[in-house]
Amino acid sequence: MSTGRRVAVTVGLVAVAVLATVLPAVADDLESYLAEAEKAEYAGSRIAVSVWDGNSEVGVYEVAHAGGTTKIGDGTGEALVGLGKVSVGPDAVAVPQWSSATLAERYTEGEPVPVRRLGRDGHLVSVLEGDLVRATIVFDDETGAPLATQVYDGDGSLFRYSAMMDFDDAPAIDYASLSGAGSEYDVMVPETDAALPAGVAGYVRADSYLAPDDTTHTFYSDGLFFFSVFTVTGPVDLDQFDGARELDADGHSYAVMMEPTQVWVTWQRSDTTYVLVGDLPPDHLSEVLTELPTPDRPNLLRRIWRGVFG
Amino acid sequence: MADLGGPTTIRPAGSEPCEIDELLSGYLDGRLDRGELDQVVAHLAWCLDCIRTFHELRDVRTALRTLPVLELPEHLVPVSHHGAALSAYLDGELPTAEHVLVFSHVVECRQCRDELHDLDAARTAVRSLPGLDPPGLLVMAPGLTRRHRVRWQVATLAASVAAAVVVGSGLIGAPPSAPPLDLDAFADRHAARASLEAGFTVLPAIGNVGVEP
Repeated sequence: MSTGRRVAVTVGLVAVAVLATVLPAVADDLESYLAEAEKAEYAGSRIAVSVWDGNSEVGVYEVAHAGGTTKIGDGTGEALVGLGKVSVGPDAVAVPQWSSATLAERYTEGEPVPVRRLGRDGHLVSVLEGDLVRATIVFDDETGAPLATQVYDGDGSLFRYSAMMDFDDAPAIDYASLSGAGSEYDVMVPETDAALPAGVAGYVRADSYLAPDDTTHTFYSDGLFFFSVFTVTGPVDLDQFDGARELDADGHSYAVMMEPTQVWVTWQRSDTTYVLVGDLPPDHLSEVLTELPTPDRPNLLRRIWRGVFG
Repeated sequence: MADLGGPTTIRPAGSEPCEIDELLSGYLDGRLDRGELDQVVAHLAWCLDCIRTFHELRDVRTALRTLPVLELPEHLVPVSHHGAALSAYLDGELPTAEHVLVFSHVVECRQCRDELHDLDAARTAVRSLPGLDPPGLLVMAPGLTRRHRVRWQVATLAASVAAAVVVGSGLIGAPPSAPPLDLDAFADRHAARASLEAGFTVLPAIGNVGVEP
């Protein structure tokens, strides 16, 4: 791991959807796909691309998955992610307690469709939000591994694409290296007195934790996408968001950074700094931001300008 | 199990008698479900006999783990699963020869690999369990009170001196700069929680956030 670079572990959506109570037969089938994907053993390289507002971010990663844990590298380092734990070298964090999210009622599931990808037989499963195809996932028939995922913005345009570029269904995995043994884990302490709303724009506050550095971590999910909001009290240096783009949501201004698999957003209100990170699509993000605590000062000049000139 | 009427047991009115004998082992293994876990934690909050039993059980387990392990000739080692050795394997407590044997078996045995991951997950959960020291008022010897008071006074004095130094340096030197956001830590915490999402398979990725080459 290069010491001269700050390396962060990010998470992107590959396979999605959970049991929908309104469609038990289909959901049972999809649930079995997802269960097999969790148990699948495979390795290969995966590309992830996010496109937003004409800009794109691309990443290519080497992945090895077994026993519910994924080892992933991007050429600068490796990380282990799975079972509520993340370790990057000696730095590691673990989540001891969590709530289970259910698929929001706004989603429905399509029938699996046979497809071929990378010369392999698979099935494509669609998740719809009303009439909009919000996401599709291709599962490998033989191993159950998720081969490709596409996520769409509210206007139907492709927002994120993630797919295996080469696939090894019988990898020589070093299982000992997947155990995370030797890492000292910081355990997140569940926080029962959460300050953020219980629900925002269809997302439910699943869990809240207090970190050793006194920041609060609140996790939201709608059963399909998810995001975390970190709350920091007191002055902080926001240099890491230098060069970030500005996002306007309901007249408020936010700093946004895109990565291939997720988005970072920050804003400040009074003496509190908020940092949101997640894989949700842009239209969902805008709705979420308007229902979370907003920045101190609305972008007044912009609202006046719009009011006068449209 | 303990004598519930013993002098060290303080049982809240209306509470249930001790019925957590068998649960203590599961508690140490991190294999209790939520209801059982709550039952054990609640019970251990007041029953000193069970707290003592818990500590004894834990000590026995620790002692067993640290016993010297005979290095058997490989042809005598059974070809069966190594379930009992997986915990020591995770702890790095196996002698080299046995470590090699267990590792070789794990590579070949899907069942043991799954068990290894389950065990690792359980250990993470156990680490987060609350401490179980008996209530201080019940175990503190009279002599300790004075010692604690002295220690507290020393700590208070040290804190006062430190505060004075901080205030003084603030008045004399430049104002301290605001700490930077640790986005790496945020990303790790988010990924750890996200990896538990039911129905999700995640692609964990290493990306540079605010790169400083």
